[in-house]
Amino acid sequence: MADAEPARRLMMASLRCRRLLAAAVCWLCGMAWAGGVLAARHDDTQWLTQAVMVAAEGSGQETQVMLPYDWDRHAHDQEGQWVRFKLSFRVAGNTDEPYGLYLPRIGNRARIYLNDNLIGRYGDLSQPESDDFARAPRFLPISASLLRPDNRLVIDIAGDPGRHAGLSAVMVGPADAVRGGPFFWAYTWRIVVGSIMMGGFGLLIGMVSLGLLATQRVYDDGQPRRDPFYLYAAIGQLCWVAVGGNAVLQHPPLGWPAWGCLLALAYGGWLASTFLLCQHASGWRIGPSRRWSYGIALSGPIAGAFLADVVFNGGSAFPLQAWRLLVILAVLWYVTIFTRFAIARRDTLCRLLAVACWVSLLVSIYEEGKWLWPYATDLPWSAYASLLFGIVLAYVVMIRFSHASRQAHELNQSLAQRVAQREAELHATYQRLEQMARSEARATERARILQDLHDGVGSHLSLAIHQLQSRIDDANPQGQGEVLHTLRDTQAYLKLSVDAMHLEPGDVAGLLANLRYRLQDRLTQGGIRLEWQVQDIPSLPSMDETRLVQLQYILFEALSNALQHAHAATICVSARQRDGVVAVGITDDGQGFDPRAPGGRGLSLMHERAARIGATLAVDSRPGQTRIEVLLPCQ
Amino acid sequence: MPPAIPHMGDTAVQAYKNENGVAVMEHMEPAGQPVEPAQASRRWLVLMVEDDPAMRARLQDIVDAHPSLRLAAACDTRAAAMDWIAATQQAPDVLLVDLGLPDGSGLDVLQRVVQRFPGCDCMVISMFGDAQTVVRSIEAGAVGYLYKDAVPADIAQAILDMKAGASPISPAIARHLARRLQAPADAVDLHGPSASSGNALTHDPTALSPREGEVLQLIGKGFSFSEIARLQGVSVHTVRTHIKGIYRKLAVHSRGEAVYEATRVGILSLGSPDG
Repeated sequence: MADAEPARRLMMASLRCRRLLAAAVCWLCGMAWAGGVLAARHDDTQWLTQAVMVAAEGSGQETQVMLPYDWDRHAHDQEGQWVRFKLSFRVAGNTDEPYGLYLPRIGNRARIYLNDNLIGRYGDLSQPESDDFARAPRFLPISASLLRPDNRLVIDIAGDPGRHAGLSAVMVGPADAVRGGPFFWAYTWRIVVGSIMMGGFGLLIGMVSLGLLATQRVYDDGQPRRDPFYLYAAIGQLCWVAVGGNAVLQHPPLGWPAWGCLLALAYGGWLASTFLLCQHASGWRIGPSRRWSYGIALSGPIAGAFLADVVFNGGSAFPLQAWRLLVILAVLWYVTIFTRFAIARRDTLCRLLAVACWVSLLVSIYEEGKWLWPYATDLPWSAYASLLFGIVLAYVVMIRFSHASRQAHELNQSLAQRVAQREAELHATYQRLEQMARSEARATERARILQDLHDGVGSHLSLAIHQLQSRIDDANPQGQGEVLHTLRDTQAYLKLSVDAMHLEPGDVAGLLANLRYRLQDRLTQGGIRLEWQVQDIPSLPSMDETRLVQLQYILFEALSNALQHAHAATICVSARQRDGVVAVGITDDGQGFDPRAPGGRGLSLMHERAARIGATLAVDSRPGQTRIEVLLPCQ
Repeated sequence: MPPAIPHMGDTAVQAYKNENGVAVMEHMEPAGQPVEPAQASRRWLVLMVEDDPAMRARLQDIVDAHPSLRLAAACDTRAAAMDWIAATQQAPDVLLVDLGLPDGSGLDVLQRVVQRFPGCDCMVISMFGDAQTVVRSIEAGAVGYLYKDAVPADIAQAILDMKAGASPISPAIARHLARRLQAPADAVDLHGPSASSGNALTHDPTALSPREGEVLQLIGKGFSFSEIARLQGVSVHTVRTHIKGIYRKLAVHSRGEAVYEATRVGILSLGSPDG
């Protein structure tokens, strides 16, 4: 069937999409793992994890520390404070190839000295709350001339609170090995793919979402509305672009606390929009109701921004940290119930969203948890997690498009079906009407025939019976003659009726011809000569079947009377057209009668019939000429 | 004497009893030439198929009474008639058949007789002589019809006249025929002047010649044979011949129609055309 085809295609398409999704995720994981693996050590490279920390201002006391060093873990009372790290490393053999330093994380601002030579500077240490170089991995080349068997590396860093400042373990080795290996991978994955590509992708998705928001309409109870799904997706993606893109922004447009608050707002915004997205996909059926959801969603980022402001302005990082933890717990709770809903519902969209949420959540937990345990590589897993949401959005759009196409196709088909149905109904109705018209016509015809039988043959037979009964005792030959005449009239009239059934309406000439044919014999028997003076007369449209029959009766009566009573030698039948009437006349040269004499029932009946058909009857009789004329209007 | 053949009475008619005492109608031309009188020398064999016993008895009496007629058989059902036709050695000359038989239509008997005995002239016994019945009978091959309520002398005369070559007609029948055969006086004749004579083979052999069409029209208007003969400038005999020709064409026409239908439906294949 034609209907199954698009549904089947849709199913195949969604199956393929799901497979693609799974493949993409697997590929990403694989690449990331490979990147991690490849970030393993090269032979001549060494990781420096031991350092001596010297507080720049103040007592100058030196402490042994293990790198990585997180700025926010340690109290820094003064603004603008910077911290010095002293590291040392040995270089074996002659050093004629250039070396390089790989710093996974160094910031927010730093200066690096090798053997008292300034080899690198990131930002201005004396300027607090300015640039941030901690987000990206750094590579510092070391020229071979600076190298000695025993080298002393001094790194000064200055950080802003809550800004992920600090120093990670440092890798030193031959430039090619360091740059081509760990640095390359870290840079590619964190910056090129993680920030730039993912940021670009997120930007694209966000823009497309906004576009869809502007153009697509959802029809709810007949009213077209914009679909908030696209709004949440757009906000989420754009927020994430801000958060993710921050890594490449070494010189943010706003000063630190403001920028940090903005970032916190963006992060909160991403969380909030994702939450609203999940709520919308579930139909607002789980967790808080729609209004409450909006409330929570709005309050989250604002609270975050506020707290960020508090923290960045010099307080400890704890409030922000605590807020993040709270958020994670809340998200964990929500994602759990959402997942339960998605599994129970068997809704593909909810399931995909649940997967994306879980991935993001786990990544976030991991990243937060990084504070709890040190880890060399610093891949932006959360960026990739955000990619999942973009894919979910793409899936949604695709599904909706297919659904809309299928609906349109089904609508067309059902429309065609309905039109065909209506046509069939109309046809049936028309046929019924036709049948009704035909049976009505038949009924009318039957009524006419019955009427004719009643008027003509019926009345003749009754007359004959009456005549016979009244003369039953008489051996009166004249009486018998009367009865015989009446019976012959009956016979002739019956045949005339049969002939008249096939007359065309308006054919008066045919009527007269029939009369002559049926009565000629009796005229000849009676020794009467018939003069036929019928001229060419036109067809009279007003003379339909009923009227023709009435006319026939009138003329028959006239002829019958002439035959029986007139004792004429000649009867003349004439018809001609004059002055807009057709005049049909029966004239005989018999003894005549008195038209005004009472008891002439036949004559009065003739008048009646003439009136009924809209004709005029002219009767004129005197001995020697009797004329009965019927004037039929030509119209 | 009442005229035997139901037709228009005309002034140039004379009725008399011939040497055998049988009432005869003589049709006088304006010139006074008698047309062939009824032949008294030969006895015609009459087959009769009529289910009404009274009518059958009357017909039998008529045939027995008339010296020119001899009864071959009187059947009262279609089956009996068919059996007789199949079994007989002698071909009948006249068939009188009633259309309404108890076990079928008299038309079947008519068609069978026309097939088997080409020299037999068939007459249908009709109540009203209405156009439809008559035309149907003519199509099946009849050359005349008889009124059930005619007087015996009329019936005998009608049979003899039929054997003499006359065919009865009424205005109603004429109008009906004109419609059926579509007189070419009005129609476009593709073959031009070749369709002038009544026997010319035109594109349609059943089309009426202009003369025949005129005759039909005039009869339909109620003119008698002699009046028509006067108008056309021919003899009454010619007029009668025209009518017989028209009837033959009707039979051919209906046969042709049947052949056409059969060809169209695929029962027959087009071989060499008939006639």
